[in-house]
Amino acid sequence: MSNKRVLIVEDAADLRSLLRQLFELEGYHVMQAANGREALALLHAAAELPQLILLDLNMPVMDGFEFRRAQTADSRLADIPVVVMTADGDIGNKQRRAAAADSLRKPVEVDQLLAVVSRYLGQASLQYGAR
Amino acid sequence: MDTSQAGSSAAQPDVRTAIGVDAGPPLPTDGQGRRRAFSYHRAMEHLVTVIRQLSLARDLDRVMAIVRVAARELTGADGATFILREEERCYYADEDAIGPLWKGQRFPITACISGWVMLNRQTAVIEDIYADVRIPAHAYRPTFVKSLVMVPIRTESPIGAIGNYWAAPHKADAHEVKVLQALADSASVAIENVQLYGTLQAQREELERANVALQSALHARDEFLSIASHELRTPIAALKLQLQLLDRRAPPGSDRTVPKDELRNALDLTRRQVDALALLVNELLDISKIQLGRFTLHAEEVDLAKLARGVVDRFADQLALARCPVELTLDDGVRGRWDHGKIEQVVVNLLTNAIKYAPGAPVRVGVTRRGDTALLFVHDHGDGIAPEMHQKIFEQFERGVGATRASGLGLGLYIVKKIVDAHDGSVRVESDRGRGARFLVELPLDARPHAATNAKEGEATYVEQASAHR
Repeated sequence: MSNKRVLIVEDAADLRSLLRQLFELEGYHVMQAANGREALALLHAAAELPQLILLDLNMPVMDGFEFRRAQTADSRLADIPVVVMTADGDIGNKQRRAAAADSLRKPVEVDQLLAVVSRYLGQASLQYGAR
Repeated sequence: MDTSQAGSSAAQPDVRTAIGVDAGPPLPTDGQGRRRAFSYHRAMEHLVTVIRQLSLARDLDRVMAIVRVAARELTGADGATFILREEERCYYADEDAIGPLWKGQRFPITACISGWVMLNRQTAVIEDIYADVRIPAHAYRPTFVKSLVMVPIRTESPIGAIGNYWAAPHKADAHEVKVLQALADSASVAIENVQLYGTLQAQREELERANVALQSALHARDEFLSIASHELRTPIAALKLQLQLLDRRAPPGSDRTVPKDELRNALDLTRRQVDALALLVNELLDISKIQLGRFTLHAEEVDLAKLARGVVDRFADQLALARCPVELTLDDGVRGRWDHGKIEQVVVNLLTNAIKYAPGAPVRVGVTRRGDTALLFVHDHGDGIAPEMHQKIFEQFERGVGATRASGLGLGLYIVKKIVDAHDGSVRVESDRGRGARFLVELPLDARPHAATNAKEGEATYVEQASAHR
C-alpha cells in the first residue's frame, strides 16, 4: 500500500478520471472530488490526509478560490500544499490569488505534472514509483 | 509707465479727457452716476484686459456678461445693451445700466436702431435720440436715455449689436466709437470661439460615447475569446492526457499492451471529448452566424418525444458520470414542423446545463402537448437560479453564477432562446435558490420558422424541406 496520497479536485469527469489513472499508475493513492464542496467533505471525513492537493480553479458549486479560503481557515487542512490547474491565461496571477504553492497550465504535460507533484511529496515518490 | 494714483487722476479729469493721452489707470467709478471721464489710452489698456477675459469665455452668457460691463466701463456711459439678431428680430439679451432698458424684449429689425445698425452694417452715433427718425421714441420715453452709440457685432453680416446710452446729451467722439467697435470685434471673435468650442465639445462627447461603446464591445469580445479558449482547452487537455497515458501504458518499443477494457474506456473517453469539442465548435459557429444574421432553419416534420429520447440516449454516458438519473415523461404524437437539428440542440443545451449545474441529482425530461403548442421541459434538482437572474441567463455570455463557478461559453441558453424565438416559441425558467430549475420550452406545432438574428439586420432565410423524418 502506497504512502503517497494526492487529492484531485476537478469538475471535468474525464479529466479527473485520467488524472486518477495516471497517479495510480505512478503508485499514488488517489482521492478525488468534483468541486470544492465535495473536496472539503472528503477531507473532513478522511482518516489520512493527502500530502498534496491538485486543484482546478473553475468549478461549479464551489470554485477553487472558495475552497482555498475554507481550507486555509481549517487548521487541520491549512498546511496541505496545493497546486492549482487552470486553462486560463494569467496563470501566475491566479496562483497568487489562490495563494497556491504552484500552478499548472491545462493542457498539462504528464512529465511536468509528475515532476511538480513529486517535488511536494519528496524524492520518495520517484523511488517507489510503479515504473 | 503708469505713475499717477487713481485718486489724483480724478482730480483733473477734464483736461486729461480733452487731450485723451492720459497714461494712468482707469478712473474710479463715480458712485453718483455722474459721467466718468473718458481716456482713449486708458480705455485701450482696459480693452486688452477685456479681450483676455473674452478669450477665456466658454459660453455666450459669459461673453455677454463681460461685454455689457466692459461697454459701460470703456466709455463711461450710463448704460449698455447687448443685442442678438434673431432672423428678422432684435433680441435685447443683456444690459447694464443706471435704470431699466429693454432686457428680454424683442423688436422687429426694421423698427429699432440696433436693427438699422445690423441691416446697414454701420455704427449709429445719435446725440439727441428724439430728433432722429430711426429711433422709435415711444420705446425710449420710459428710459433715462438721451444720447446713444450703437455698433454692429461683426461688420460683414452682423450677428448682434452693442449699445451705449447716456442720461445727459452726449456727442460720442471718434475715440469712444473706435473703442466700442474694437469691443464689438472682440465680442464677435469670442462668440465664434464659443460656437466652435460648443461644436468641439459636442464632437468630443460624441467621440467619448463612441469610445465607451467600442471599449465595452472589445471587452465583451476579449472575455468571450478567453472563455472560448478556456473551454476548448478542457477537452484538449483530456485528449492529450489520454494519449500520454496510453503512451506510458504501452511505451513505443516495448512489448507491453493495454488491456482490452482499458482500451475500450480510452476510446469512449476520446469519443466523448471529441464530441464535446465538436459541440463547442458548432456553438461558436452558431453564435457567429447569429451575429451575422445568417441562422438558417430547415423545417421538417419532427417527433419531439423521439427527438428528446435520442438526445438523452446520446448523453447516457455523461449523465451517468454526473450521477444524474434521468426520468422521462414523453407523450407520443407530439409532432410539429421544426428544424430537427436546431431543436435537438435546444434539448442538448438544456440537458448539458442540468449536468453542469445539478450533478448528483435526478433530471426530468418531458414532452407533452397543449392545444396547438408542444411543451418541452427539463427539470433539474440543483441549486436553482435566483429570481433576478431568470431573464439574464438567456442573454449572451451570462451565467447564473460567477465566472469561476461555471464552465461553458455562457452561450447555451442564449442559443436556446434564439432557436426557440426563430420558431415563434418561447422559453422560460421556473426556479428558486435551492429548489432546482425547470426550463420550459413552448413551440407552436405549425410554426413557420424564420431566421434568428440579433435584432435589426439579417436576411430571413427559410428553407422548406420535403423530407419527413430524419
